[in-house]
This record gives sequence, C-alpha cells and structure tokens, in this order.
Amino acid sequence: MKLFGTYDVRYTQCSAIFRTRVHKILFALFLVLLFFLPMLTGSQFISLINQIAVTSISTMGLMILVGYAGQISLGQSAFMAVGAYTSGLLVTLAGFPFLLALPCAGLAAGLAGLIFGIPSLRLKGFYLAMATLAASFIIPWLIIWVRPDITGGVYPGLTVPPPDIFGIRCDTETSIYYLFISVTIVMVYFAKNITRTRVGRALVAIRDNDLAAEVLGINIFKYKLIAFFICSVYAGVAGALWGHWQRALNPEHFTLMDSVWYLGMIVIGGLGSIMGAIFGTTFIRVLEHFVTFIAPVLEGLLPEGLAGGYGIYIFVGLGALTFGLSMVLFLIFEPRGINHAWRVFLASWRLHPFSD
Amino acid sequence: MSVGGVFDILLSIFLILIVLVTFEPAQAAGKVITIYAMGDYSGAYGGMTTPGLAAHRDVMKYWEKNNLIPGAKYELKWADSGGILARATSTFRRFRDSKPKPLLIVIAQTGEAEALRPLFEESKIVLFTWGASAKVTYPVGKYIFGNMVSYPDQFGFFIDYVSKNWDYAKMKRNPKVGILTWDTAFGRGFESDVTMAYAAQKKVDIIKPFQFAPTAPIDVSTQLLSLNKEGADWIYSSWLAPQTATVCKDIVRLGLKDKIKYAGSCPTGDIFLKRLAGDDAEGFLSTHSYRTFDEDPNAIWMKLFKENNRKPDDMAYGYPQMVCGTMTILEAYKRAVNKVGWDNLTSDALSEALESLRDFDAWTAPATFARNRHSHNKVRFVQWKQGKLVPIIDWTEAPNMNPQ
Repeated sequence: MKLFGTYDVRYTQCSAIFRTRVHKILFALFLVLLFFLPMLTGSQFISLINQIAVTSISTMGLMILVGYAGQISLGQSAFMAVGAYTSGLLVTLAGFPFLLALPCAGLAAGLAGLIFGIPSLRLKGFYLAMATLAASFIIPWLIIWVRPDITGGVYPGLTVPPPDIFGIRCDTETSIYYLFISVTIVMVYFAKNITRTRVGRALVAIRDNDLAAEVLGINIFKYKLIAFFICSVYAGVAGALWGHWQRALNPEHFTLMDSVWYLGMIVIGGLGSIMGAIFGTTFIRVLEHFVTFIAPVLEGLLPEGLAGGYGIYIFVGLGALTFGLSMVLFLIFEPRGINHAWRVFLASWRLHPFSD
Repeated sequence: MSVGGVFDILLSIFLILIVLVTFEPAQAAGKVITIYAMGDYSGAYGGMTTPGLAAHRDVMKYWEKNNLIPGAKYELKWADSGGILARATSTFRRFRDSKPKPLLIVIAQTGEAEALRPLFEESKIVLFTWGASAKVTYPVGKYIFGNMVSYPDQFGFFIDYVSKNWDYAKMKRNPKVGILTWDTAFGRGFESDVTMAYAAQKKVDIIKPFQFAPTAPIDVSTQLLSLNKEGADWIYSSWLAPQTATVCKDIVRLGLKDKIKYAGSCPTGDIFLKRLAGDDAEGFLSTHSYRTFDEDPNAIWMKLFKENNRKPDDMAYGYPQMVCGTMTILEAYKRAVNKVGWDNLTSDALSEALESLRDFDAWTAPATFARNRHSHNKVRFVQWKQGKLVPIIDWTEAPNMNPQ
C-alpha cells in the first residue's frame, strides 16, 4: 500500500519489494507477530500454519511456472516426492545433516523437473499437461520398483527422523513452525526476486507471447527449462520439509489429486503473483480444516430421524461439495483470484473516502 | 457492490473461519467416553467406511441405553480426510490437541494409519485401525491395535488353505498363487518377508511380479491372462468388492473359471458382491474377520441395524466391522475404568485393557489381543454360494505372521 504523496520516479522504485518506510515497518511488525505467534495461539493453529507454509512453498514454485511462465505442470506432487525421498534417504542412509539434505532435495527435484520440462519445447496447454502428467506416474513407479530395498517401496515405506538443526531436534509443532516459517520466508524472498529479474521478465514475456519473446532474443527453451527447474526446486524443498514433518514416506502420499489441487490453489489465489500462491494455499487449507471440523458438528445438530439414516452420508460429502463449489464460484466471480481482490481492497482503502 | 466491498465480506468470512477452526468446543463434563474416528469417509473407501460411523453410533447408543458402563455418556467425534493425507494429518493434530487429550483414535484408511503410526506412538494415543497391514501391525506397538485379523495373518491363513487342499502327490508340483491387487498400502498390506517365506515353507509358489490394477478397473483381462500364462492355480486380491466383481466377471468371460480359483482378504467378499457380480461371484472365497448380514437376522447387531433405520447401503462390510470395533473399544474402556477408575484413565490403561481381551464376544467377531499380537487371531473362510456368503471354515486361529 502506498500512502498519499508517494510516487515512483524510477523503475527500481516501482519494482521494489518494500517501496516505503511504512512497508518496511509493517513487514518488521509482521515478522515480530510471526515470532510470537506460537505464544499467542494453540498448537492446533500452529499446525495449520505449518501446513499452509509447506504447501505455500510448493505452490509458489508452481506459480512461477504457471503464473509467470505460462506453462503447466501436473507433476508438482511427484516432484515433492523426489525432494522428500532425496532428503529422507540422505539423512537416514548417508547421514547428511538436515540443513544440507534440504538444498540437495531441492536440487534433485529440480533436475527431475528439467527432464519432464523438456517436452515444453514442443508442447503447450493440454498437451504439455499430459506430458507432465507422466511425472505423476513415472516418479512413484521409480520409487516403488527401482530400488525398493532403499526407498522402502509401498511396503514398508521409508521412516525419516524429524529435522535436526545444529543439534536441536524439531519434533514439536512449535519448533517445526519456526523452521517452516524461516524456510518459507527465504523461499518467498527468492520467488519475489526471481520475478523481478531478467529471468522473471523473460518468463512473463514468454507467457504473454512466446513468438514475440523469441523475436526479442529470448531463448524460449532455456527459459522454459529454467521455469521448470525453479518450480521443481520449490516442490523438492516443500517435499523434504513435509517428509521430515510427517516422519514416514510412502509414494501414496504424493498423488495426482494433490497436484491438481495445487493448481486449484494458485488459480484461486490469482495467477501471476507470489502472494496469490500464499493466499490460495491459505484459503484452501483453512477451508478444508474448517470443513472437516464443521461437517460432524452440523451432522450432530441434525435432529435424529430427520434425514433417516442418511444424516452421516449428507455431511460426509460436505467437503467435496464445498471444495468444488468454492472453485467454481471463484472462477465465476473472481477469476483473477484473491490477490486481485486484495489489491482492489487496498486501493479502496488508500483512496477512501473517494473510492466508495 | 464494489469488488472492495466483496473482499471485505470475504475477508470477514475468512477470519470467522480461522477463529472457528481454532476454537475447541468444551468437552461435556463428567464421565464421557469419546470415540474419535477419522479416515477416508468420502473418497475411494467411503462406501465401505461410512457405515462404520453408523455402527459407532448404534453401538454407543446401545451401551448408553443399557448403562453398560454405569453413569457414562458417549460421544462420537469424526472427521473425513477424503483419502488426502494432508487432511488426515491435520485432523490427527486437531484431535491430538483436544482437551482432554484423546485416549484412542480410530482410523479408517490403511495408508493414513501407516503414515500416522509414528505420530500416534510419540503422542501415546491408541491407534485403533481398520486396516491391519503389515506396516501398521508390525512390529507390535504398545498403542497400535488392529480391529481385525491382520492382512498378513489372513494371507497366511489363505496359504494354509491352499496348501491343505492341494494334492501334491497327484499334481507333482506346488500350487501357484498369482497376486492381483492395488499397488497401495492396503492392496499390498499382506506382503511382508514373513508371509512370502511362509508361503515357501508351505510349498506354495507366489508368482512374481504381482499384477496391479487401477482404483476402479473396468477390465483386468491383461492381468488375468498374464497370470494364466504363468500357470496360476489361484489368484489372491486385497481390495474392495467392486474390484473383486470385475475380476469375477472377467474370469468367467475369459473362460478361466474352471482353471483358476479366486480368493481375497476380508473386504473383497463384501455383501455388495451379489449386486455387482451376480452369479459370476459364485465360488469366490475370502478370509473373513466378521459375521455377515447373511447369517442370523435375530443377532443383536442386526436388530440395532433395523431399529436405527439404517439403509440397505449401510450393509457394507464396514458396518459389522465397526460393530465389532466399537464393542471392543467400549469393553476396553469398561475394563480400564473398573481397574484404574475414571480419574486415572489413560491410553496406557486402555492399551492394557485391550490386551486383556480373550475371545471377547464383540457381536460380529471374537476379539482377542495379546501382548505380542495386537490384531485379532481368529478368522473364517467364506464362500459365495447361491448369492450368499457361507462360512466353509468357521472361526479358526490364523497363523501369526509377526516378524518376531
């Protein structure tokens, strides 16, 4: 939010993350709030934040690929699996410290993303979606069948320890929270900066018109691959965090449906903005938390006999109904996502009382 | 209304949601037994698991009405994961952080039980699972209990049956068993080093590699023909009735009925097989951990089913399974309360009470646990005969496939 009288006179000012001192102060206050949050709320809320944080990292990567580069991937969950298994195996088998395994996980997933990104040179839209869909099948297959003696396959899977940071074992929700929030802030910082660099501008140019971008001298294949790499690095980091939080890994944990939902999250959040990925993720995660909480409550309120024996069935289906409906409503009423609405909201406050 | 105005409303709703989801309603005071149930009630397993919620309710109502634990009130708290692990994890953490802390949580999905087992052990909460795969059940954990004969034990029982009914002298070779199942925690829940070694010891050859089918296969010809080519005498599956029906129909269609016998773990022989496969299911065999709807119409649980206005769709396997489960849980509560009193009731006390059950009549199955076996020990072998599930081997102790 820019206050009255604050004008951008240079491009660097316009693209700066913090445009004014107020921005910096607000951000500092936000960080202070994040630091004290576990002391102000319960572990249930912190657990929800942890889930939002780890998912946001993955959706931020997807946002760079889909929202900025205009490509599509249905393999995000599979790339998370690559990260999760890489980190899990490096820590359990090779004895790597978690902090070293984490970037390795990102790198391994990034390399996997590069491979599955190669078809993007020739394919677009649905066809590219189908090509990346292959990742959702091939990667779990590799995990299950190539070296099940190492990965544990479907049975018995892989058990991984909680993150250990310089001797501090992160095995509580609060310690995990501080780890996840720290990593998320770093990843947001990188994502925001990537989009402001030459690479980011090239990705946007490719998204808006790839032919024109090529005429301007942008190496389309190279930048598309960079987008896939970055997207998968984010997925890998998220997968590693998820694995060490969950403590047990199985290929079944990384499904195609998850990948579809990650796409849904960035659509709801608003394509083409890093904040959109966080908004969309927060919205969906809070909604699913809410639905799993409220469905039994509603079912309990239903007078016995009113719905015959079908009371449970009606409310068990509430989750699927709510998610489907929210997606459709967003596409109809706010196709540009929560982030767009948020910006309009800020603008309306900035121009108050002339905005009404 | 302006977009800004719409966002004001959205933001308000969202903040209310956040407050609501973090709000923990106060638990009813006094002697309250809360069964926490979570799992896949709306996803792939929903048709089987949701009747389990009805069973929880019906049995708890019965116990309350008959004051079987003097003065106790009963409460069911459930949450649906839809088969999504992120939701299951989140639900587990919500339940775990409830006040008072839950002593026991029921999970209706094998994969979720497997993934959450370490967290249960760490939180010292009893995990009472629907799906007793090798990974959930073994090694025996103080807080981990399976509400059935474990899948490995069921498979061992099946191997015994194959071995006993094979004429080695006449055939001059070992029987061959092909596996056609889901490539999931549940589908491969029977698989372990011990079960494979047990098959070898009983001179039953397991055809490798296993054949897998998707979640909802409409045709398994390729898999069946492949197993037939490998010389399978038996095919064994671990999945649900709809998948079993597809195999039964394809076996008939491909003319393999006289050549290959088909069997499966307990949920494969759900009563819905009648509707889904008709006569093609004739002869299908399955290990079964519970009594079925085809047996005694005057059984207490059958009467409860009618009294509580349950619908035909509730007749899925999950209902008798959770009649047994709820009976077992409540009996454990009763024993624990009698032993340590309400004020000292802990998950440790509940775990010990569960371990003390020996052939407890849980209406739909005899429930037995022991310190070295945290899943049931007695199983039956049932066969589809003229549209009904008929026990051909009644309650028999299954071999223990515990790796130790």
